[in-house]
Amino acid sequence: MLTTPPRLRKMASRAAELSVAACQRAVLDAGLSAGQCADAGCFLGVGASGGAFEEFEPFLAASAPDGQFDPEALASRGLQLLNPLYAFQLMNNFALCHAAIACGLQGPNGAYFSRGSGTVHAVRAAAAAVAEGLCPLALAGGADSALHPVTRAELARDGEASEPLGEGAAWLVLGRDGMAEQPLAWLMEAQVVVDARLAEEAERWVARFDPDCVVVAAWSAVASAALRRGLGATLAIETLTRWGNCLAGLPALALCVALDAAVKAGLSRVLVLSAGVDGDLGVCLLHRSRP
Amino acid sequence: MTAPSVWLRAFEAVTPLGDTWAATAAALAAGKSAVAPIAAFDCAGFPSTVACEIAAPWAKVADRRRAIALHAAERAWQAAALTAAPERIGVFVGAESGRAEFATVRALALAAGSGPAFDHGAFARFAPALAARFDAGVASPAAVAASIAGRVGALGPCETFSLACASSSAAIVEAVRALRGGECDVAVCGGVGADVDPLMLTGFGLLGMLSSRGASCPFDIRRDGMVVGEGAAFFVLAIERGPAMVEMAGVGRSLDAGHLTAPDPQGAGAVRAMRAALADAGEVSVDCVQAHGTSTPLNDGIEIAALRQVLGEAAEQAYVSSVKGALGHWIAGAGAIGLCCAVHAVVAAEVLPTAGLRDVAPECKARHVVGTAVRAPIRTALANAFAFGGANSCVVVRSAA
Repeated sequence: MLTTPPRLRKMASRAAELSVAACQRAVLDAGLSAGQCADAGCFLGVGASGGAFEEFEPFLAASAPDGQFDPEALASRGLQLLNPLYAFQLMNNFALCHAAIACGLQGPNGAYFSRGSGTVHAVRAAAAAVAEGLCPLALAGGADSALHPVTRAELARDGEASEPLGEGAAWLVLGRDGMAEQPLAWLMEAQVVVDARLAEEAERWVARFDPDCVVVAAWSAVASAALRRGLGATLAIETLTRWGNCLAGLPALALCVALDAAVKAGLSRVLVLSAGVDGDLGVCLLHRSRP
Repeated sequence: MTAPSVWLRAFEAVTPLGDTWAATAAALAAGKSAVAPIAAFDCAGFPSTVACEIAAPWAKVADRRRAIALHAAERAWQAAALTAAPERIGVFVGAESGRAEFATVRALALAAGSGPAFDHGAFARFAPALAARFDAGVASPAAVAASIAGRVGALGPCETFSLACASSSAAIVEAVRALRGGECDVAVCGGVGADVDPLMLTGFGLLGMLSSRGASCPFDIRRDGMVVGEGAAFFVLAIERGPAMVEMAGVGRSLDAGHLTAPDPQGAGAVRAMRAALADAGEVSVDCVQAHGTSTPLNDGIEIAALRQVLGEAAEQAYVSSVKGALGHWIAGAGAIGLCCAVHAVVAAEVLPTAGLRDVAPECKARHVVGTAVRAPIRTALANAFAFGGANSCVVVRSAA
């Protein structure tokens, strides 16, 4: 059960709340000191679900008394009904910034938006920042919620709302090789294929890496089916049916599943494939042991 | 292995002072300002009634972000006249979400039961009929980058940064990084802001960020808040030097990790980002700084103090200006238009002034450019972008001569 301080709830979207909770746990789990956090990079795949509708609705009602927007009504009545901190809930980057503030992360950073691959962009950028020496370690992940009226309507328009909708966040701690005595896994690949033919690309990546298992993080059953067609007989783990469509959160959760598959099930190579509305394919490969 | 240099081959902007950078620069150099009463909607009673709007008829469309961004990006791409394999062209854009029509948002609220608890059953019945009222391009931040990629024929990396006021600067930083890392040979990068609308003015106004006097005057003793503006600026970067305008010499990023809207009191985050960019460029100082300079009471003084920490005695020699006095704050596009001014200083040997600045506040003392542009040889320039939430992004450009 996620408990959020009341002040944070006033300022944070649901995605930001989830982001903070997951980031704090990742920092704790990795045993990072305050000094390590201060030097850490921070890269997050974000969504645009925005603020709580129940807070927004009285403002909308007062500002559109006849169903049509009336600027005068907004100025004279609507303004008084809106939580002054509501704007914070609308800013996509605040899912990252709330977490950075909560955990003291001060390094290079980026908030990436893409309907399907923003989280993989974030993981790739974090890995690159570590590899290039911009920071000794970086936190990377995704946080999002599809349980929002506007988001849900958008997904319905794109034919993506037939699946259960969900919410979630996950952060990974990435460090230089040799930094941890017992790293959970090695991130061998993180990239985004633009405008991908999903089945063909899935087949290509499986042929290239020969994974023991593929974790599929697709936003829809259609995209998932396309990816799985390309996987052939390779063991596949589906995330959409377990958590629902968590949008930018889903690839990050899939990476957690991949880590579990490597650490707890002892699989050597686990591939994560993510796909969303925008047609890109996110690809991450984890190795259980040093290659 | 040393990373390859990255070169600026062309850039373009569309602003409230002109459809091109040349027209904008001429107006800025003369000290003009675009701050004016809002024309897009009746804003009587709003926390702020002024803004910097683009008046061009072509921009008066449902998705102003995309229209404005495409206008600038296409022209920059044409001016660069580069050819590259589509897979080697990347697109990196700073953009925030667009907004649906107010009536549509209201209809969605009603569909959800219009009460304190979200009525999923009611929503499921009504929402499908409302879905068609949403244009994906209007709401999705990524639609801007996708449109630009389609227009210039790019099939390389395509990334969207939603990092509030540092969005476009972060996009430029990432483009430089991608070029250095061999992920692409050519990059179209920049950003767009189009936040002169009732919801954003309401949000910023309630947070007390907007100027109640209706004036954008960075570093001035009278400054009391920002003025929202809109526009887009895009750059074409390449590994191949060619007829380069400037070298993209250094980039740096940091997080304050302190407060959501107020900068770190000591400017520590800004200091780290500026130092990172200077170190990346192999420079210890710059000739000119295009400051973030928002005209808010807190930001401007802390930014100048941070500059002094970074540049030391050289801070007395560096010209300082902020384009937000003339064009307002473009939020996601702010870093990109700031970089235009920094590049202009190097290429045209002309530092553009801070419009609205008359009486420099004691805590903001620096070598400000006041009134009209200053002609001076500029070898290096720094462009700052500091975001709500505490994300900082800095870029150093250097003469290609």
